[in-house]
Amino acid sequence: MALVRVISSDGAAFLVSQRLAKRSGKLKTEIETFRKSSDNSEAQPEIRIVTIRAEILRLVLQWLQQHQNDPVLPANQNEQDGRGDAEMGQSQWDRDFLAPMDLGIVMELILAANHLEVKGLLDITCKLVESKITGRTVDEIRTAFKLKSDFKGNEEEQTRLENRWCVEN
Amino acid sequence: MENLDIKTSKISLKSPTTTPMLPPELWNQMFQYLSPEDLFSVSSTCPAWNELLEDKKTTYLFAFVLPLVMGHVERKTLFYCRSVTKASKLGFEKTLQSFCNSDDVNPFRHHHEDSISQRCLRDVACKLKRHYDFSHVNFKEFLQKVFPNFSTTSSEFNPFLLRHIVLASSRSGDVYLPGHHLLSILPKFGHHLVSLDLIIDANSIDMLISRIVSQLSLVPNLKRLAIIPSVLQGETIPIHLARPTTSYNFPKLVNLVHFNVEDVQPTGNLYCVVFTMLETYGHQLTSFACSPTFLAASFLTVNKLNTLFPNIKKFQLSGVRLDFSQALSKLSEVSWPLVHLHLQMSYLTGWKEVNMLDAQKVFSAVNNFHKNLMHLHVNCMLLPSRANSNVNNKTETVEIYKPMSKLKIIITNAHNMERGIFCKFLKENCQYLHQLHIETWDIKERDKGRWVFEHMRNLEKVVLWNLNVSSFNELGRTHTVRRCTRPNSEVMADSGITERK
Repeated sequence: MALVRVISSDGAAFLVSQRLAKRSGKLKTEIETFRKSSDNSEAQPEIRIVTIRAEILRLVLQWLQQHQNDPVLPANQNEQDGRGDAEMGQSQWDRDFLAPMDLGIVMELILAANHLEVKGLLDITCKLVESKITGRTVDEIRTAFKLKSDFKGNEEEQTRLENRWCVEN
Repeated sequence: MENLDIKTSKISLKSPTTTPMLPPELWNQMFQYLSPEDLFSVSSTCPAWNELLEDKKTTYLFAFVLPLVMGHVERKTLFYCRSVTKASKLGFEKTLQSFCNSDDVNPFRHHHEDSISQRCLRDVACKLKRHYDFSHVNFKEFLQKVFPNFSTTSSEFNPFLLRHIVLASSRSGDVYLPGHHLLSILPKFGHHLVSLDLIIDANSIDMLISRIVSQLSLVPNLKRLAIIPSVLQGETIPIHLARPTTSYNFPKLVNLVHFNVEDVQPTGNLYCVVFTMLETYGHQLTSFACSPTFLAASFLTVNKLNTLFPNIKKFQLSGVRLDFSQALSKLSEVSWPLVHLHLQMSYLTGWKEVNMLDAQKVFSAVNNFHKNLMHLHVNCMLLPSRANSNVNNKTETVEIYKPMSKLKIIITNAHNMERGIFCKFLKENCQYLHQLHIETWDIKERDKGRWVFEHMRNLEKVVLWNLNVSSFNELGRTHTVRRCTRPNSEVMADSGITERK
């Protein structure tokens, strides 16, 4: 079984089957680039991901492993067919997978899924963060994400006026 | 099921064992001064630092994550996100602006967008555009409601959310845009604008030209400019063919790269103005859109076109059939370094043949760009030329086309997929194609693209787009109906064509 070494930003190496790794768009390209540049077709590719730490990389790979037999879905669904992204839905496994995570970890997962081009994972993590935003007020969003307003003077009021202009009509 | 997939072979901890060793509190104190980007790098470096930053994670990641999540958030709340912090405001605006001011003249750009969330965002950006369209929206009201203290506001502040506005100039002065208001705001804030649509009363261009020149000099950072002619009711633009004679002194716009004049006809004085603009800005343009009539104008010779647009990468020709063939002849001779060609014909109702184009003309234009062309969009219906019925000519035709070695994407319509001449072109000249997009009015035709997989080795996907949707706007009119995925030996477990109903 062809393997690939994926190394996290903090130096942890994961040995993954190429078949699994290629379900990430980014890793797929990297493996192909490695193949092209390397003379030895048997050589094991090594890919360093400088922006993702071990804990997060492990989660991404776990998710990929769980979903390795899913069909590669068309990224764009026809809304008329009633098959929007939403309906793809989360499996029970996905829910259990995300449930124990801190919001911070989920946000790191979003960035990782985006970087590695793992669409399914990006979707479910974005949905989770979105649920912390939609329907909340500005202050509630700040509390949820531990943010403090850093606007000065009338900047916040100005932004509010603009928002109102953009949402009205 | 594979068990050995994930194996952590080694975790080498680069913990902050520094000399001298610093206590966590001190690190924390230092972290206070770091930007979110730096904090993210720090936390990715080693587990110890990551742990120190654990509870600040949501704080510094918010602005990074927001652009990715935005497409999922409901519109009203979306704007709340903007008010959260300065960084979130910036992230929000940058994301929307990049959608709105994309450097593409091609309206089908979102063909290649792969997610619904991106499409939602584009939709938000499009709706927002209307709020900054000062040919419909009262500028005075905008100032009063949004910008009550504009005279005291610092010029650093950008009052144009999308950095794009629409201005209209007419001889009577525009009710929506009292000139004095504009002149009070553009000198101070015009440098924020990167995209401008100018709607110009075609018959009063002589009176308006000085106003237009001064408006342009107030927007020095403009990247994209569109000129849209308007005609008062009951008037027509004089049909005499204008010869550009007068020259106007247009300001330098060093960033201007996209110019769109698709509605400007080569008659009347407006054309002279546009032509002078092309002489001023043409050499710096990378994308240009015009009508076939515009291109066909007799004094725009091939040589002239070459000197006018030495750097053009993207070109869009859109309009009715009239003059298309003349324009195409010119395209087959110019020496432009084109990577993106878009031929868009507006359909006239009536006899079907009226909307057909000579396939050979189209192909010889396309062939002229065979070296660089990566993206081809032909939505005109192609017809084998009459000369082609002759067998000798037919073989000759095939031979003159060169392989399109860089062509990766073709967008066309279902009609052409039934034409032997187009299919032949696909099979014989486009061996490196990755994506084929087919637009159709009838989803039942969805199987039309199937056969191509057998003939084209590098083809990755065929996407069918349904034009027949109820809301006809730029965003709503396209939907993927089906993607057939070429069985890829290693990646996909399931073989054959992935289908979803």
